[in-house]
Amino acid sequence: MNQPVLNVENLQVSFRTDDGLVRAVRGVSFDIQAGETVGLVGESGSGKSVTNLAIMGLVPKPPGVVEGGHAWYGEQDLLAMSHAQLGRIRGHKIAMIFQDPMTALNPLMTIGQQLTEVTRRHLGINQKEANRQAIEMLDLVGISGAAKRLRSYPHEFSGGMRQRVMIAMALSCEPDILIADEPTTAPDVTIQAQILDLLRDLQQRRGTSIIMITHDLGVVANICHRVMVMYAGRIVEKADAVPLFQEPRHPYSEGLLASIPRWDQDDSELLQAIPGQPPDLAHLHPGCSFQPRCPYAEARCREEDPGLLPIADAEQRLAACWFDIRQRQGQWQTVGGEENVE
Amino acid sequence: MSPDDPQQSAYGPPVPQRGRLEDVLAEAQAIKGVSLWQDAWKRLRRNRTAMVSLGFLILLSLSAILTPLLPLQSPLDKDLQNRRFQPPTAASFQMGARPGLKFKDNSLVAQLQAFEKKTAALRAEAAAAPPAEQAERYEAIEERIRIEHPFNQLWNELGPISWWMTRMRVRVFGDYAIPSLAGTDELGRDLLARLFWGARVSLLVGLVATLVSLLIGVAYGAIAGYYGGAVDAVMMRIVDLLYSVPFIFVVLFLMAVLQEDTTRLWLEGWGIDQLTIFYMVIGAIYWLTMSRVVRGQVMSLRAEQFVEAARTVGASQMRIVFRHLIPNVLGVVIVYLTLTIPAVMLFEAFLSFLGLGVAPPDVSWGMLMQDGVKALSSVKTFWWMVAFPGLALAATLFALNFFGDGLRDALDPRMKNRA
Amino acid sequence: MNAPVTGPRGNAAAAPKVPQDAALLEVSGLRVHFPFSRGSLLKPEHGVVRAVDGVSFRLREGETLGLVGESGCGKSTTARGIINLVKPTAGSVKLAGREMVGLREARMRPLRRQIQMVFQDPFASLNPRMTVGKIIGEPLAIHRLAAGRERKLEILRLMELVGLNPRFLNRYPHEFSGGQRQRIGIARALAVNPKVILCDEPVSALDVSIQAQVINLMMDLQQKLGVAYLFIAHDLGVVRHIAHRVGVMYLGRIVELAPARQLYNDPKHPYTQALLSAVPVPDPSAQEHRQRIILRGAVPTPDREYPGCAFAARCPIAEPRCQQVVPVLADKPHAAACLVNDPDAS
Repeated sequence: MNQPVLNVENLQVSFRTDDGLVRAVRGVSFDIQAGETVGLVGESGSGKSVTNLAIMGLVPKPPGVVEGGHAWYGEQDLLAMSHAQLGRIRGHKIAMIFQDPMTALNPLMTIGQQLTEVTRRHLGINQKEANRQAIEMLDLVGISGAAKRLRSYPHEFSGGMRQRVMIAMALSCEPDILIADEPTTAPDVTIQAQILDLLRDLQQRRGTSIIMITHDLGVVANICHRVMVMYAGRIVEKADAVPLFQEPRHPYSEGLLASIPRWDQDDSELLQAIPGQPPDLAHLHPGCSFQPRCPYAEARCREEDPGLLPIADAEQRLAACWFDIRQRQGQWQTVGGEENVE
Repeated sequence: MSPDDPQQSAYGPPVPQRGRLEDVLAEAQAIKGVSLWQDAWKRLRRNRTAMVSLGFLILLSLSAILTPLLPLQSPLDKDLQNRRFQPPTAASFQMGARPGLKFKDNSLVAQLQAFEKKTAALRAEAAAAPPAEQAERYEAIEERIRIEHPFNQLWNELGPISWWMTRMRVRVFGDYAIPSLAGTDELGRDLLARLFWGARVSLLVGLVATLVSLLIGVAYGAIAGYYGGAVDAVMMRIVDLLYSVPFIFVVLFLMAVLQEDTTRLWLEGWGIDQLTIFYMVIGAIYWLTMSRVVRGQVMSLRAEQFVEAARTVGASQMRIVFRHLIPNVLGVVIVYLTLTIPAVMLFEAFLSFLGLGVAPPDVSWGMLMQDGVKALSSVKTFWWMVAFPGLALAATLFALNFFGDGLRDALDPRMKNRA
Repeated sequence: MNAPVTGPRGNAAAAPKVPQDAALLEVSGLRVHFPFSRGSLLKPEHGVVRAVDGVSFRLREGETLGLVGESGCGKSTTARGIINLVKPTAGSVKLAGREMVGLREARMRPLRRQIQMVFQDPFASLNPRMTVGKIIGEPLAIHRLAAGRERKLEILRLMELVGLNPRFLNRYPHEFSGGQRQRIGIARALAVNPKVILCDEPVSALDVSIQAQVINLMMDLQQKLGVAYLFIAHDLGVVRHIAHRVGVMYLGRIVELAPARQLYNDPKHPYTQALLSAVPVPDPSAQEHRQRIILRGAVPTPDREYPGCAFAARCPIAEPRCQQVVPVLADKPHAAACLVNDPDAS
């Protein structure tokens, strides 16, 4: 095993709110190797976005507080760095692209200005050279007539193209790690597919590692090598992509996969849904946080939290469950949605 | 419901039986939700500055309302011989002590008693007189009270409630009055009393004028915002036009015209006294910004999905405006209200300062400041005449502003999206 | 298909008895155009955004017609045009035989008992200052369907029907989760016992696991109450699951309309084919073997006119005649507005 590019250890982040202390991330650990794409999958409240923000030092400090953990980038701990040190790494070695390209681009600056701002700051090159590189990047992400487009403003581009510009900006300094926070939530399927293709392509060419944060399992299947499934601030399953889809080992992963309506399969029966709702992160009960909604749950689950346990018969697989769910009886909800957890 | 409850089927629903309905409703009442207002109140309570300001404002309002009950000196009784320009003092004071008043025993209590005895005697006479003359006699007695009652020499035009409060005050405190802790002015009038009585006017103007501007502004802005299009364009252009008018001049002109004797008497014939005109004039100026604020809110609300939903469900326009739009606009309006009141008070002070505001013997803080500044220009410094009214006005304005700020934070729309 | 179901208030008598195969909702040639002007004072530009440009379909009792398309294709505007939230520029919308386009609000109101809408954003579609009980009760009040105790009972019944705990009658929207709020919206739509519910992306804003709950709920309600849905979504999986028939929209027009299974297994319009090839599938092994159809060119905007077939510029199988003749969606079970693939399109 090579040295991972990024190694997150026991990250803990909480937020002080009117309702109490919300424990958004409760001990997340994972690593990522060079050239691989890792998916952080979860729904709202799972903590995936906050994990990512914490790594980049972007958690708003009041009300957020990073309570513990490390994020090792090489020998350095990102969480222990000063603002200035982080500034040198962000955008340069670790870059991020966001969900909404409209708000990620400054509407008052031209594309050229925004692209070159990044490279000039981090690589120390002059304007002419920066322009040249910017044109190269725009070509790379598939924007035609790049030289002229440098002088355009964000509002002159369509949504999909803005996404590409954002990717160009992120990759302009050849980062080791690209963090993509829900980049495909735009409702245009065709653009979504193009973006994913682009990312895969760029990864192959440059060996960039990608952390893909998403709730869309289709995207995960498309592009991720390994997957971390998150729930209520913890990772509940770690696996390679193919085994995860074929045989999920955590009830939540299984439920999630079962609840997705498949357009490529003819199933006109009711979907299997996970009943209830995600827990209130300000008032967590002891024991497994998924237990109230789990069809396999037993008394033990309410008392003890399993934590991530290795799966006996599979390499590199971990699941936060006491049981081997392949052998247990339990059924997801197929009747019309019930609200029983209040 | 704990997670342990067996999963109930939510369907095949039993229509609640008689007993069950009451139970459910009772439970629903018990666990009823926290409305956004209550939520905002909770947040406001945590803001200490706002709470202190609120406390101050409540105290101020109470003392303004209850002023006739308080053992203050007379705000209008002049004493040109002995008490001109007295600095703040703790020397005791007795109501009615000034010889010029010619009160019996130099005491208000004594004079009052004597007067009431006389009036009672007159009433007895009138009762004994033949019925034809009685009406005339009673009228004469009322006339006498109106003109010769001792209160009239000490206070100006007390309404019935104030009158009753003053009588209570005399009964409780007798001749005692708080000494001139704020000094006296050039005519020997007690400044402390004038401060309290002036507060009534200043606060009242602030409130009423703001309310007038609210009524006009909200209605105007809601209509413009709701109908949009050409209606909105025309209405807002009118507002723009009016904005460009320099208001000082308009007000000066208006007040000058209205203070001319013929016009004044004519208006008073209609029951509109100068103070009322004052309220309306000021209110008519401040509605402009309110209308813009409301219009903006209404326009953005109009496009919200819950308004679309209301239309889909078949709500009439009236219903949409009153049930959906206005409650959601109220937050902004209230905040804007609390921030308009100080502006209005300051404006009134300014006008009174220019001599265009309240007419003597009524007194307002602005007028006090005018007196104070006039006094400052003489050789000696009569600092108390400017300091106390100035402090009072400043404190009130600060309190209103801090409270308004706190209110705005508490009503912040970001709470709308609390998941 | 179920027979028309009379609701608890037995008010099916309010509408004329509709024969089984006749359309409950008949939309014909619906157009919604928004005029706009831009450019400077000296060089003004006037134009029209053709958000909906000739949409026709029929919706039968108790069936679900899905309407899919990418952003800007006009599906949301279609729904809003049908229910008169925006005024249709042209065309006809007949509900149980009665024309709705051009009706004044007073005439429209009784019809609103037959057709309702569920909105996309669970946060914005509920008035934050009203309790849940009041929100659900408002339609009952407006249409005078129940009062006092009766109304309260009805509200409780509706809450239970959509899976909400009736004890939370007096709570405010912000105290509920997204999925629960959507249920409140559904209960509100059901209050008048409508025959048709237009659903504008009702699950798009919800988490995946909650989506499944709400989809199940809606399908269940259809079984129970026989209500018809026009289900608008951009998620092809959701639509396949819940819809009997599916229409694909592109630039304000329906380019293909077919029973769900046929659309997905045998798409006839090249746009549908491209769309289906691009949707990611949650199955890595299947994912590897797919062939993507790449569309050339940029996504066109509805503010310009395109001669002939609007899709021709990007179409991989376009022929010269495609840019001359406007293809028509034929009136048959599986139709595609494609001159090349569907002989009835001209």
